[in-house]
Amino acid sequence: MNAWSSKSMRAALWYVAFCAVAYFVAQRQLLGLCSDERHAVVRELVRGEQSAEVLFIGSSQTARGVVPAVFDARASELAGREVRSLNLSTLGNARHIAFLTLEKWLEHHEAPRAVYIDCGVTSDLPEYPHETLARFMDASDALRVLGTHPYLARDHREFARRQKDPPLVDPLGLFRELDRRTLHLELALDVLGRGAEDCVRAAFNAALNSAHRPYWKPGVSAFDEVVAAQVAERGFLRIAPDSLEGQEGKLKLAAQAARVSFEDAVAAQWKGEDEFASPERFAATREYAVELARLCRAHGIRLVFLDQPNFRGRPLRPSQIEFYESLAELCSQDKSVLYREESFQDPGHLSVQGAEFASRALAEHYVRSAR
Amino acid sequence: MSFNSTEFVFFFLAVVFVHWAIARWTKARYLWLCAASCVFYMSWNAKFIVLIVLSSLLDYCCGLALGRTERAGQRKALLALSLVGNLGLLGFFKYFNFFAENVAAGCARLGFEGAARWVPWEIVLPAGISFYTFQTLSYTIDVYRRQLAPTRSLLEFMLFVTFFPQLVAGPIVRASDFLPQLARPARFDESQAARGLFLILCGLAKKVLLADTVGVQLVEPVFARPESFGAGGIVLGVWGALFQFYLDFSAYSDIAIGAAAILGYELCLNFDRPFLAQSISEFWRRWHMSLSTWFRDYVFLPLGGRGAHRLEFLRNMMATMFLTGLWHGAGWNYVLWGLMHGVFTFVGVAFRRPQTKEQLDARPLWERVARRAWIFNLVALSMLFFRNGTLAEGKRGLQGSFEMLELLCSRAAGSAALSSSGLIALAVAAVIHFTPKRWIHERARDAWMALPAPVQGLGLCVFTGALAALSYAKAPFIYFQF
Repeated sequence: MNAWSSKSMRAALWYVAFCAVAYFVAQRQLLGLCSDERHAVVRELVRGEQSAEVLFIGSSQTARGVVPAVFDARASELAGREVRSLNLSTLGNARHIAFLTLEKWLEHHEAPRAVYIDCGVTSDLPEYPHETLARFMDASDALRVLGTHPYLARDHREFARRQKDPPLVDPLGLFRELDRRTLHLELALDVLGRGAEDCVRAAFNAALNSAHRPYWKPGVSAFDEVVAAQVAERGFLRIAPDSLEGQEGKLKLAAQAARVSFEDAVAAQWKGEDEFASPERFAATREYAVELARLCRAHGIRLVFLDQPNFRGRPLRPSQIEFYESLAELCSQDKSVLYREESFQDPGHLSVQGAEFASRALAEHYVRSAR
Repeated sequence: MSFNSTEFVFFFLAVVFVHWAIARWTKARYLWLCAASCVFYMSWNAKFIVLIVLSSLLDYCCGLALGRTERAGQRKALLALSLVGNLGLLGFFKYFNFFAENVAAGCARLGFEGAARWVPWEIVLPAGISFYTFQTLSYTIDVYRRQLAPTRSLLEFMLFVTFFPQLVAGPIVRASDFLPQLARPARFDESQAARGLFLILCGLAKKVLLADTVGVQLVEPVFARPESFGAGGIVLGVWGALFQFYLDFSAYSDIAIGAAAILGYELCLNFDRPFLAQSISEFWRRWHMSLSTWFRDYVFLPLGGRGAHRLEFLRNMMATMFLTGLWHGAGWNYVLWGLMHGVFTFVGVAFRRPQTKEQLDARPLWERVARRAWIFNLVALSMLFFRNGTLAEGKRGLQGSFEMLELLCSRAAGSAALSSSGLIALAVAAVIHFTPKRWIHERARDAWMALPAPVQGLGLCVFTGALAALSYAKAPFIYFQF
């Protein structure tokens, strides 16, 4: 009997077809079939009528760490005129998203006087293009970036994976050498393969955007309220301390406080391997930082790289500091004050109290350095 | 890439599609299956594929050489080479630390201070090494005994060893069963494939819905804190552990047999409702049959089998069951478990008149039920020792087993309640197991096979999706660690 005409084989083919449909539905966000809900707030703010003298662009550390209302009040008070800011941060924001966000802002609004770009842990986000495609404003952005910045496809995760699993016996270093060579081959194939894959995803994105779907809504009933509240706070994401996220964060905070002393945290210097110097891992981050500097120069915008605080966590590497200072100003938050436990909601994010304190400090930095 | 993972589903589909697309080119088909099997194995730990290749090459060459020589001395030397090579690898990876630890402990007691400071080596156990070692050994021994002609095709031999459905956790396939199947032309058999698919579905359901639920909800809490559950809880926990092992391992065997059937190959049955056994020896004819027959044919019978008198039988049985216990793991728990089964079997066989299956089945119903309950509880008692040495989170060792036994005998009351979902899963498993096959299994299979292809496809999609959502963090199959 011919296998292909059998009922079992037909059932298997039906199975594959049903799975493909189910997969596309379940993974539509990852596949770029719809915009990422995390970008919803930024999209609302960018397309809105509000103007801003100062923009903050970064990850959750900035979304939860800068309160525009507080910044504005303090900056206006110090400058003697009205200062208006917006927080255009999205969760898990990497440098290329910051670039695209600023670019999109400039399409719709006048250039701001200053832009603060989060450059702390977001430097470490290893994002594939297909993971970030969904965050872009539309498919043309995605295609343009893929065409002009193919280095985005480089990734360091392979290195990490292989380092975790070294060969058991390798007296001549043969397996390591073989690993190194095959890795290059894999990375090359990765880039070639992913380009085509992303084009397909981008096409889906384009099709969906043409159907006027603003962005995908996840199955969380409170989504509209969360977006509305964040838009009303001009981008600041307020996490209530008694919420589930707030409670979990506090537990992590206590654990971190037990691990690292205040003195050690304040005195901490980066002592490990200086990975930021490695072009493979940080190529996209470095490249887009340069792009941002170029874009800001072209529009006469003052660019400030912002080192958001971690609770007694890892400081910026010396090479990072050197790199960012070669491009623009680098603003590091005052650790001796901010390393207090009450200033944080969890080891990576400021509490509302900490955010208000940090926002006032940023306002002082902005006005002081503008003079 | 475990059988209960999404990756495996699509890996298997790809293997099946290509396999039947190239069915007419025999060598290409074998090459494809070999390559797929290597990829499957390497998804665990790529470097250990070297061990399989080495082991296979050794036995392939030994087999060829055995086929070319008639000189008894040379034949013995070749057999010894295969035994030393295969058991040497197995011994190093699986038992080195166990024996070294015991030797060090012994030396420390004798006053050698250095021995007390000995630190176990970091040795990773290659997946499936116990299974494929026994498989390749059986080939060489069969060729040595002239029960099997050595294969000339390295590709066919490699496929026999690496065939992915049974590579990691059995059944332990004999070359005499598998190699002749390779000689036949590939022919797609619709009913064999449909049965295979149904077996896979049964295996997945057994594993994800029953074994993991019983394991996570019932067994783990009881073995972690037996004092909280009291004697009643311990009894249910131990019954649960026995069912968990059975469901988990037989699920793997079902999926392996089903996957092989879809590819057109037949693997031997590994479990045949073991808790219906009315004696320990019958239990071993129904439980992990590929292993028990292996030990019977290659250890017990060569030692002399039942021998001329009871003492000889006892020696041979205890040696066989000692090795069976040790095969499962490098720990005294396993050894004790094996020895317990050795004693049970010896007592059950040596002091009773042998009876045929018909004679056993002709007994009154109450007697059959009582016998089954007795055997089930004997096996469960041994499982108490086995389970305490198996799972990392419940690794309490012999001391823990005796503590549980003490709690059981003291009839202590417990303060904690057992999980209702765990008990329900155990009850469902028991009902399915003790119900005649034709009542549930065969009816479900016939109903499944009568469905139109698109409905089967949709059903499979919903079924695998539901299993993925329900699975307990993709718990690995227990027998992988053996």
